[in-house]
Amino acid sequence: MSFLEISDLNYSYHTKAGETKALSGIDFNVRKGEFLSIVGPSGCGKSTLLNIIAGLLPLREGSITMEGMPIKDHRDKIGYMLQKDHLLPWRTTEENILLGLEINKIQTKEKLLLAEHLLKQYGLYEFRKVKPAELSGGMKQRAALIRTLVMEPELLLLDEPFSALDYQTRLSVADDIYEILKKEGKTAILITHDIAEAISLSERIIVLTRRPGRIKKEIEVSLTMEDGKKPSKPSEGRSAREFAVYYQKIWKELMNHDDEI
Amino acid sequence: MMMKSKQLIDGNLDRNRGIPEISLAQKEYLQNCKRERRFIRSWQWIIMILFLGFWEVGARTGFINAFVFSSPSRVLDTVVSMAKDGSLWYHTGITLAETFLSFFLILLLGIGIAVLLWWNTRLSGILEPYLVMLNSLPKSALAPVFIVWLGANMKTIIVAAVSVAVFGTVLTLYHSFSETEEDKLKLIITLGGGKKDILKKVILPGNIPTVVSLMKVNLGLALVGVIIGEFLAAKAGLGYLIIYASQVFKLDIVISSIFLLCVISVLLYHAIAKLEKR
Ligand SMILES: Nc1ncnc2c1ncn2[C@@H]1O[C@H](COP(=O)(O)OP(=O)(O)OP(=O)(O)O)[C@@H](O)[C@H]1O
Ligand SMILES: [Mg+2]
Repeated sequence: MSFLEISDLNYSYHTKAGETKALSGIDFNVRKGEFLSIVGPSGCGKSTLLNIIAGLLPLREGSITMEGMPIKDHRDKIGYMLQKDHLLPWRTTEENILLGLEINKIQTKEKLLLAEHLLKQYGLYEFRKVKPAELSGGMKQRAALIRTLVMEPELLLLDEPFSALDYQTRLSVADDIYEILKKEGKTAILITHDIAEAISLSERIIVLTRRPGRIKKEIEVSLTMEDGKKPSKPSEGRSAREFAVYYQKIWKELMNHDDEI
Repeated sequence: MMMKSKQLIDGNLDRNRGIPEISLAQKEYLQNCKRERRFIRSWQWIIMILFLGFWEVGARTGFINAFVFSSPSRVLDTVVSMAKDGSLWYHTGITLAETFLSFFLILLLGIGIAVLLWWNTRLSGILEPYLVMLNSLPKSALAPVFIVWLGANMKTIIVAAVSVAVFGTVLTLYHSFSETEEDKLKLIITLGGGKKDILKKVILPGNIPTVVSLMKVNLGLALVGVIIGEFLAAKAGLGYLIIYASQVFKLDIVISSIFLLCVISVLLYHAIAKLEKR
């Protein structure tokens, strides 16, 4: 039994204009502690998939289980980080970070200590009393990550969380997030348009077809550095020996639509 | 040449004393601003003095009929004697109290109904055309109906004043609630919250600026509504005083009451402006 099992998942949107099939026959497992990335053409249903896992959209066809139980029993163990930070502008950094605890009324001493620890670790402690408008893009994204992490989710869903950042910040925030997740042994599913990001962060990459999204290819990733060791952090992995090979492979899968049914 | 070097020295001196150096152009600009302000102020005074002067002189020389148009000195006399016999405080107090009461009712009802409509999309779908209709209806047309229903008393005045502003408030707030970014609602759900949390953490705090700007509009509207109500259904208040005095041809009292209304609206305006700054 895998940590997360998704089988025969279909999803269609219904609007007045008609029915849009977004996902078709999605079937995959995620191991505990694994970092999985999903890539695919724009509009193929990636966000839809995460929204269903997170419970924002109803599960109509197919099944999703987490540790053998239906996913809806585990809603509190799932953290979801959206593309934009969505910090509330009238709250300070600290108040934004504590939002989830406030909603669930779990402002325990340990949680507050954890929040403080995370603020310090991410260099936001001096900015805890400041409104989001005074934070840089990278800081906002890190604040959004802390807001998710203080809830101590078992499964983290990341929907293009770095796309609003400039390249430099993007690399360092990705390193930060990866380190935290690995240290805490969290499982993560990342959606990205950036093939290099997917390769450097993940143990496995799933490539989806155009809409309606089906699984086209699953690729296990394993990178080795010049010295034969594993890369110590994602940004380092970009110069691994196999990197270009993986890049070519995924690029080809994404570009070639002709063999679709 | 001489001038220039002297300026340089002055500038350096200033810097040494830690005072920020003000350039000549900046000084000129500031002086211009001041001059402009003084110009506008003086003309405001001039207009007022001319207006009051012509009015007073006209009334005294018989150029205008003082019985119909009153005069500044008669208004002043009337206000002073009204203040002495207490009627000024009584009528102004009643009008102010009615205005504040209506204002708070408008705010309370407006927010309450807007929240209800936001909470229940079916309800808002059903009620929207009725609200739009009620909002565009000239509310003064309703006042006589309220008198028949509720009697010629303070209840009618409050209801009339509330009806002037409440529908617009509900519609504006409801639309502003509905325009809240979809992803912000999603965020609360992903953090384990429900509709109540969305309301408490996102919708209400996010709409404080809208509420404040509505307050500004509504205080004025409440005053308008109260005066309409007092015209028709009161035994006290400035609106009553205006109608009563005009019927018995005491134009001094009519003009004095209008003058008091001017003072009230200026004071209310400043009160809200102060609130907005906070
Ligand atoms: N609320 C909705 N109603 C109707 N159709 C929708 C809705 N949301 C998404 N869709 C459609 O479903 C398809 C999948 O959308 P989704 O957002 O999951 O794509 P995506 O893979 O995340 O795309 P992107 O990479 O651009 O973010 C799209 O073609 C979109 O037009
Ligand atoms: Mg998407």
